[in-house]
Amino acid sequence: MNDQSNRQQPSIEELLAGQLPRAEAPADFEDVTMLRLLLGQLPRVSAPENFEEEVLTRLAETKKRKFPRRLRLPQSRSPWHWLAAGAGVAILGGAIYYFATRTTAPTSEVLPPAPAEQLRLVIPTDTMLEETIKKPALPTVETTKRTPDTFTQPSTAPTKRITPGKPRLHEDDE
Amino acid sequence: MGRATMDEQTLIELLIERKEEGFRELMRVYKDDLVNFAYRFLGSYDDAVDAAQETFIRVFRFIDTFQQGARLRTWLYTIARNVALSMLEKRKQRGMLPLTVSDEEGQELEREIPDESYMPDRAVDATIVAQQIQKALMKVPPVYREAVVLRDIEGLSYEEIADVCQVELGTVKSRINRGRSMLQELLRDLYEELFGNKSS
Repeated sequence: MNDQSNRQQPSIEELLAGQLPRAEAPADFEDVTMLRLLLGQLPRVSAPENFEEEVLTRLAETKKRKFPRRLRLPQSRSPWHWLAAGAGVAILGGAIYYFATRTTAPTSEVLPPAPAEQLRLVIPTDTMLEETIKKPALPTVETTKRTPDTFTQPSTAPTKRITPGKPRLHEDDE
Repeated sequence: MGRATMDEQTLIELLIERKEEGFRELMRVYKDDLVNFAYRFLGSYDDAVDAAQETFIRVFRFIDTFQQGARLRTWLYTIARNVALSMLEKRKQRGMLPLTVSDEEGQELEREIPDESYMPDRAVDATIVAQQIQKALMKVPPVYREAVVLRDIEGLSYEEIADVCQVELGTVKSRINRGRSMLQELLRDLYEELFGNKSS
């Protein structure tokens, strides 16, 4: 039974040979092959003897400087940075103000004088010399001599009124 | 690639712990591959060594960003590529004249034309053939050159290149094809010398 079926059906080799289309090499097959042969035969280039040592040296240098300055990303300042900077400026400003005011104007001079001092008339000392003082010419008035006994202190009491028409200048008048 | 004495996971753990032992092992295993890739991409041995060293320094500094599950080798090539590209940019500012060309994706690409004073390191490519190939490589725009170098010289898979260049798989394939076509065109004379018949 198997023999009969084998005779009737074509073998797989016959099938593949007769039915499948033949694939052909491309037109430039030889050229490409020769080219690849040539490229493959190019001498291999080797690294120099000290290759590894140079790499390690370069690597050490790279690690030392890490990244060039120009490649560093610009970093924004943190709020703490600005806070610290502000505090520093304030302290510095305060110190400058303190020392500046201390050297140019002492505190006693800066403070306003007391009201009484403010009103005091300041006379230059040279004007106080005896020669420079001019005694004012006071007008002489002819007055009658009064004794302390006759002089009565004016009082605000309503009972003691001084009447202008009766001056009491002398004891004899009484 | 150098022969690894420890598995990749152990190496990654050592690197994350910043152990010098791990770092030295990483360099021992990958230094030659990275120098070779950088040299074929940059065309200068000194620049290539510099780029590879810078790659390891970046690995050390940024190992914390390495994603678990990713392949260390792919990550290293990604860094090396970025370093090499920035070096190319600096070199262009120093005196390489850019010309714009359009790729198949319609993007304008800058094509490097080396000035007369710049020559690939002849001491490395001792044979005339190697010098001519390297010279031709340097005339291919960087986006195609890196794809060809990673695939045909460094032997990375298409998927790895897609990861390294951070582009789609289809883009990787088209860039490799385009880069190879440019190289073939540039090496037409060399083909005749080597193989005796004019290639198409």
